[in-house]
Amino acid sequence: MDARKRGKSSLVLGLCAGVVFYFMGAASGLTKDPDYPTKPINFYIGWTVGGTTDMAARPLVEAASQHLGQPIVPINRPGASGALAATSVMTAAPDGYTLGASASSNLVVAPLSGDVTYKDLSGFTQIMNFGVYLYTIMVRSDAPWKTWKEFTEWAKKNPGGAKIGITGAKSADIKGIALWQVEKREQMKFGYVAFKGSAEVLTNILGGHINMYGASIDPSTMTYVKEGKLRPLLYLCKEKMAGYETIPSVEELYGIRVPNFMGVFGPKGLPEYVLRKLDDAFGKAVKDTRFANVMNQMCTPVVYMPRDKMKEHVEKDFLEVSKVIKLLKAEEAAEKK
Amino acid sequence: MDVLQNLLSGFTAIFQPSNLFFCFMGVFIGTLIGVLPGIGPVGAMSLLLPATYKVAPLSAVIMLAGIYYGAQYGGSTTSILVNIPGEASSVVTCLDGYQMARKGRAGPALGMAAFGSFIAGTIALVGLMLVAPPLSSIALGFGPPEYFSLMCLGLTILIYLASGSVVRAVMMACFGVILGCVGQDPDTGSSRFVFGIPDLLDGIGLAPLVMGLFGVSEVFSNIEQSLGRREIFNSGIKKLFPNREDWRRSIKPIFRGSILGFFLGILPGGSAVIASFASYAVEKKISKHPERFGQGAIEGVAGPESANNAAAEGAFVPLLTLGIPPNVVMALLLGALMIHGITPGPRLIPEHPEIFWGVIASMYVGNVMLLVLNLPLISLWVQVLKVPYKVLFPLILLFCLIGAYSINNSTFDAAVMLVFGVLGYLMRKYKYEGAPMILAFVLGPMLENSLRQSLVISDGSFLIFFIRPIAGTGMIVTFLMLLSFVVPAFRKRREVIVHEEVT
Repeated sequence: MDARKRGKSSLVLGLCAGVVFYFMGAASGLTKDPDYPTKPINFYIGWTVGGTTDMAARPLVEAASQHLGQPIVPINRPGASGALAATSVMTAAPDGYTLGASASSNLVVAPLSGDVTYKDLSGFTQIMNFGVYLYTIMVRSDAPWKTWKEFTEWAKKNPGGAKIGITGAKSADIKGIALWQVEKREQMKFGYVAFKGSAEVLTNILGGHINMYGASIDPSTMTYVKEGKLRPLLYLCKEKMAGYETIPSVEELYGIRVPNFMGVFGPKGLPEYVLRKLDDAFGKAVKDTRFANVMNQMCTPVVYMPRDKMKEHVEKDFLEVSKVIKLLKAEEAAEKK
Repeated sequence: MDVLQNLLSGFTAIFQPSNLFFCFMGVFIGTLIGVLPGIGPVGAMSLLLPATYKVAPLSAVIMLAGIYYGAQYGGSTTSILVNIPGEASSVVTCLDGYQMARKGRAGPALGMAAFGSFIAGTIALVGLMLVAPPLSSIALGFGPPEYFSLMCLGLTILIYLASGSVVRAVMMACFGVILGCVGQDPDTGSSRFVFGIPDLLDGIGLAPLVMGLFGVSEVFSNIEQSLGRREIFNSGIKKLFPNREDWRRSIKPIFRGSILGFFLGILPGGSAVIASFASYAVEKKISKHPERFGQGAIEGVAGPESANNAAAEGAFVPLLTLGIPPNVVMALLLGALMIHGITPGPRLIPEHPEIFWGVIASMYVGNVMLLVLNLPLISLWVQVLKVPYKVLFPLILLFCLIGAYSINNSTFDAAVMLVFGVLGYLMRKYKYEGAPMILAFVLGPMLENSLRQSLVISDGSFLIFFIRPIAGTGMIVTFLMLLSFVVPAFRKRREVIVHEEVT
């Protein structure tokens, strides 16, 4: 009896204390956050193993997991330009245990041009940006054009003479969309030859089957640039590669904004305490040396953007591209008629 | 002499205990994943890639390469035993390999696949060693028009794959081409036959399709026959190793397959799958007894199995000499090398000779290891045939499901496999063959891409296919072959080839 009584009274006491502490905590903003993470985090990568995004994201999440104290497990879910992985992230519970790698292809181009389940950015939380893809137009070094200007002058006189290799259909590839805008500004025409990936474009320009390379810079292409076999004429993005800063970019010449972000995202509605933890862990992870080394070898510059800035950046990219795609589709429809 | 000296230094590197260990691990894992249907080298290599960060670059590449060519050895095992291709490149091995197993000759089939793989691997290595740099520049000469003419040739050869009615073979080929159209239009990006399912945007996967069509359908049609009564393989298992007659029949196909496979392997996009199909078609075409094909002809196992191994090694040529990965596996190897600060390309051999020659030497050693590993395993694998169906079938289905899922972490792929399993069962029941459909499914999209790419390059002129020497030759051979089908003198021979099984 005694013991039961004591048990009861201590329970009441405990409850009282709890209530008091709760209010104290709420008043001073010191509520204890739930522990996060307490189990491994799944990280969706929407591209095949060994691709640029996969290679870059793996060391990043490994570094971040050290700061979070829980493993982050990369899951490759390739398909539909990364949109299948984005769908997996979007439909997951917003508890911080499902994240993914974002790029313009799955967050901007796919919802605007493909048959995917989301049509805007509302289903996602942008967490951060860790790098950028570099896109260029290159020619073989034995090509007659030394500069972009020389090329455009030639191209105006020879409409369709420039056969440019791109990775995917013009309206479904961010480089193709950028090139279409360049065409409009310069009053010229490219012949678009769609290939499966940058490796195929590279083989075809080296073999002389096409005369221009219009894809991302990767270590394979970089070897040929360094050897002097390929010559970059124009960047199809804002950032430039080290040692090749004199080459103009579409942003400088035409003010064309080309989304080339490489980020981390999650489903919408992630609680604040999760976001704070992730901000911290990924903010530290971008400074990791092994991550930096890999990024350097992949020829993708590290560009860090925290959460707020990333959100603004991606939304602006989305808006910009949605306008361009509308015009592009209208033109394609008119051509069909 | 230079080559010998370099090779010697390569062997010195490989005979270090740690490298030998990694080589063995590679080929061992490769054999295992080769045997398991669906689980391919890509999955295994990506799982093991992080583990290689900590080891020396040569050891890393040796192991990853071992997984790749090891998988080509193992792929034939399930094709022969249970009619399920372990890898997509072993699809054709099902045609005659499984028939051999049904006649109690699983041992010789497995043995010949292993010996053929070994010989082809060695031949391809010599090729890789001696002629890699000049060959890689020839490969660059293959642009879209050249591929187009190659694909035309491939689709024409396809007729020889049929063992039954030609009309049905052509029907299945058309069906394969239609299936190949599913996904995004390569040029305009609009969706075709996608029905609003995002999973279909990249088309239907080859592996789930193949596993469904051959493996799952095999299970279904066996269930139909009453489970308990049927003896596993009527005649039991007679002998484990190929006899002299088998060797006599196989030796030429092995050499032909090796050379064909090596060249197709070098071409970007010319994969081990196509190499094996091409070898089968060639063997059937030049055989004096084409009617034996599809009934358990050992040539139909030896040729393709050699070809896919040679192609797997040929694929190293563009990676190591040009720095261009011709397929996903090679892209992974490129990634593994880059992690260690080595970028494959024209400067790899002069700057890092130890990597190039070390890999070459490791392949010699790895091929021997594979042979030693595979021959004793044959008797073990053959025991699989003694497992009762009611145990074996659920297991096969389970492995197929895991395999199909694991390729892209996708339940959709598993569903695709089941759908094609049902379809494959119906096709089998009504005597429609899967092989022409698969080849058309692989070649169709390549044909379309190269046609459209070529026409953009030529501003719409079809002349591009005839004025370029390689493309033109391909087209002429294609026309001659088509002609041979209509000219009566040739037709007679052809009729023997497609001799109806019904008789």
